[in-house]
Amino acid sequence: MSTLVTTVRDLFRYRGAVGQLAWIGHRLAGLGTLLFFTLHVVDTSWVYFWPEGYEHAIALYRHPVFFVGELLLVAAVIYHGVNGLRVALMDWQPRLWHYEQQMTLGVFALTALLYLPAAFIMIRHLVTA
Amino acid sequence: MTVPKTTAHDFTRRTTAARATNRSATFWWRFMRWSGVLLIPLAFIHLAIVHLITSVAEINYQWVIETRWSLLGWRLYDAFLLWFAGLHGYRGALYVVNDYVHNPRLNRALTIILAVLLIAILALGSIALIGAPFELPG
Repeated sequence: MSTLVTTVRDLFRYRGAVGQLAWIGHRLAGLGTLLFFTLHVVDTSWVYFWPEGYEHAIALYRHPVFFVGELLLVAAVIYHGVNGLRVALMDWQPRLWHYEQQMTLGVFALTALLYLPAAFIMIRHLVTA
Repeated sequence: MTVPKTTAHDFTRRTTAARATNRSATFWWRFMRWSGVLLIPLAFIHLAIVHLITSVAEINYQWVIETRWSLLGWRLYDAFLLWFAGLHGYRGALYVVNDYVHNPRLNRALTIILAVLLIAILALGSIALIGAPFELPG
């Protein structure tokens, strides 16, 4: 557990620059997505096991608290995907390690570029619903 | 605190168990890259359909059966997403556990919990994808 304490404390102390931010963001986004994925498979399986329960679960997803969760989920998936692609590319072509900083900043930019229209559409759904 | 002396022998010793562990670690390392790249289109398209093109306000039992699971193709799509996201996600969670939980018993307990959760999720999702009706009953 001491490594967890170190990770949290040094998040603000260790000067790992964008690479460390990208890493901790990847981890948090992955764990958050996994939590939602697990709940989502359970509720979707109710389409077969318990159709009335499925309607209740979906009604719950329409609650404003879950709307914030939806906004966070989509951000997490986009970031985890774009950053994961960077990791896979860099592992595949080690010469790209020279450009780690630029690629990481590119990941942040591409994430924002993909996320802004997505967030806009989701907020519009909420307003028009 | 004394640090045990590491010898060259420790690095060159090859037991059957160690080789199996290395092979497994390498397999999962590769799996995380390949499944991750595959999950980008799978998950992004899924999110676009469910969260952007459709909204949560329009989704209900009827929508799932009539516009999605009436087509075998969408069931296969969802099955791929279920299995790849499940394996990728729970393997990722295991990396996090191994990074932070060094107590062998707690580490083992959490590993087993993750494995049980993964198997339960894959089973639940797969059974629902196979068993759900292709059209509204009645």
